[in-house]
Amino acid sequence: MFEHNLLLKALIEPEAARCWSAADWGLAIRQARTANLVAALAVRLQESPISIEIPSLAQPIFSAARQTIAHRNETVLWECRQIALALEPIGVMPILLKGAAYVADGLPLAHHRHFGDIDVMVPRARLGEVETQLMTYGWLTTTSDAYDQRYYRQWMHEVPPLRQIHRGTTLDLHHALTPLTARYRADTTAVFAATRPAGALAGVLVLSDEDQFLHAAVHLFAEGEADAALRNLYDLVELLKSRQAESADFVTRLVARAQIIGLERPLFLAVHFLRRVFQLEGLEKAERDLADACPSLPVLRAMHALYAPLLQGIHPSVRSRGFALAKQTLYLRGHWLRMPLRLLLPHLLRKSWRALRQESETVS
Amino acid sequence: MSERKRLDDLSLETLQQLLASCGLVFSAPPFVFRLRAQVGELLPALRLAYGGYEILDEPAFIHFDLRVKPATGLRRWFKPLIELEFDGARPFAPLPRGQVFPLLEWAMNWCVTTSAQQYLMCHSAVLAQGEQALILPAPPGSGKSTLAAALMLSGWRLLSDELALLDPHAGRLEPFVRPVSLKNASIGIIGGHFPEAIFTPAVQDTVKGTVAHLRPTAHSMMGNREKAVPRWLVFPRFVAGVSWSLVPLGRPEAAIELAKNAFNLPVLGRPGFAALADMVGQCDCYSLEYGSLDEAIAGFAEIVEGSERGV
Repeated sequence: MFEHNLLLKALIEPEAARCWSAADWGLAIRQARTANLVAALAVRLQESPISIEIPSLAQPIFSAARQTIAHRNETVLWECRQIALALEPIGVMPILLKGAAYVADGLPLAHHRHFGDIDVMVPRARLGEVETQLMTYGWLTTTSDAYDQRYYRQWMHEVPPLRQIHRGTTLDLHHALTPLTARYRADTTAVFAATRPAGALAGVLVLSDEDQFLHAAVHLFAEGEADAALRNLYDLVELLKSRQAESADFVTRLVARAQIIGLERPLFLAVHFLRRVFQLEGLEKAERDLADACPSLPVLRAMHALYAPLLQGIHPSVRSRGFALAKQTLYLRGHWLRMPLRLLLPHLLRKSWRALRQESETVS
Repeated sequence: MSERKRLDDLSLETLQQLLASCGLVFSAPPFVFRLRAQVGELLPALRLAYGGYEILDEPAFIHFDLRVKPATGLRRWFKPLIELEFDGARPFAPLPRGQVFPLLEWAMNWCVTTSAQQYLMCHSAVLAQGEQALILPAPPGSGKSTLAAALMLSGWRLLSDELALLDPHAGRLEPFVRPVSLKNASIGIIGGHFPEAIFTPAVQDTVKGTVAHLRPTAHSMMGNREKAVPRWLVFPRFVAGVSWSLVPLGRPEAAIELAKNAFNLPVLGRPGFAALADMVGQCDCYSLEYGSLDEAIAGFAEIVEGSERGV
């Protein structure tokens, strides 16, 4: 069905690019562009055991993508330093999450991974002071809507996004990895206790290696960011590769850690899909060890039906008919996992009412 | 190489069929676009503005895949709109059907400005005499496109009317020849001065007012792959009623002014800044106020002559 998924094929097996025509190269790059994986594709092709000749039309596109990320990394490190400086007077060390953490930790995947916002976590008890301090340094909240503020503050694991008034960068300020009302909830105390200094930037903390991976897994399988599903799964591939290269027993530690902080289900799903989509080896034992976290067969089938189309990427050449439905369902599922029904229904009603009103306003 | 097929060579039916089926693949060097559309309003403007562009039959390396289609959603029932898809994404708000051609033009520019980070990109018109380039950086509304149109129609080779693409390694400007976008009064002014100019039908009530696009001259199309060396850097400003006033500009000042228009300078970092500085170093720099196109055409001819004598 997806023989045109050149991108996915090359990410799994870069040698496949050896028989690409000029048209194929163009298509692969466009598929990668919609998935935010152009630089990742470039790096993957470079890693191929058999050398691949990159056509002259593709070369500048690849180098431009890598240059863009190199620049982003420089500015992100600088921005993270500013956050650390802002919080220094109150004795809070910011814990960087996701993309910013990969950059500050010097992970190879940071050199080819796209991201926009900076994600930071601080203890919930210090949230008020942190917000005041950040505001003093120019990070202001992006919403004055009372309902939005309450929604985030009562139920979520983050406050509404903050924007730097001088530089326009967006900061997501977390106090936990998962929403307070979520179905899969990471043990916040244990997560905070395991943080450590970042490898490549002084004055900031990152999650433990295991927790970084588990956070990426819960992000992919609980938050339902459908358009970025392939990129998010590829993050897991790259994270796993880097950590395994450092220590051979990483997967074993990962399983043990998931059981301690309570994220077995997302880890099970991550392992399950990494094996099936990216054909990663050496994960059979982990999948068996996590068997208790495996959903019932109908639910697992449903997860396949949902994620299979999304993990193909969003480019029209690989978008299946089920894509839109899967995206919708995943959106609802993300909410369903995030909060109990008695909170969820009024929230969704309110959101659709607002969307309808906005649409009618743009029309008139 | 066999004879190149151009859009002008296609019959209206063939063009329509291509647009509706597998897409019209055309080269606007250095990029290749594929366009699919089932909006009749597009055809006349497309033929007028892109008639000279090369059509690619073979499966080609396509940089940007665009599709124009009627907008979905509630709106279509009471106000038919069209929207533009870029590799399946919809980065633009839908517009009335009549504005399909300007929408396509803006989308093509957007494709390039958001992804072609291999170039240092400046908001600027670029024209050339031989391989020597004249760069006219200016913010929108300063009469840059009108000036570019007038120069192109009086013999200069157009590289672009709004996007200078500097290859930072080679230090040369890459042509990206496209129809010149004229707004409001400029349309009549250029039409009056140059009766031979070929325009797309004017589209009214766009966000930029009335818009029409001018077909690039054959001379510009012939040179659409020939890079040019930066030679003159002029910051123009149209002021109604003033006479031609050209003031030499110090290079540091010119570099700062140019940097303001170089919107991806931060992304390219140090090598980008070095390329920009080199480019300014190679140029005679001026700031210009002008009030009449005739004076401007003569004035620029004089700059070229003066440089030839001076060298």
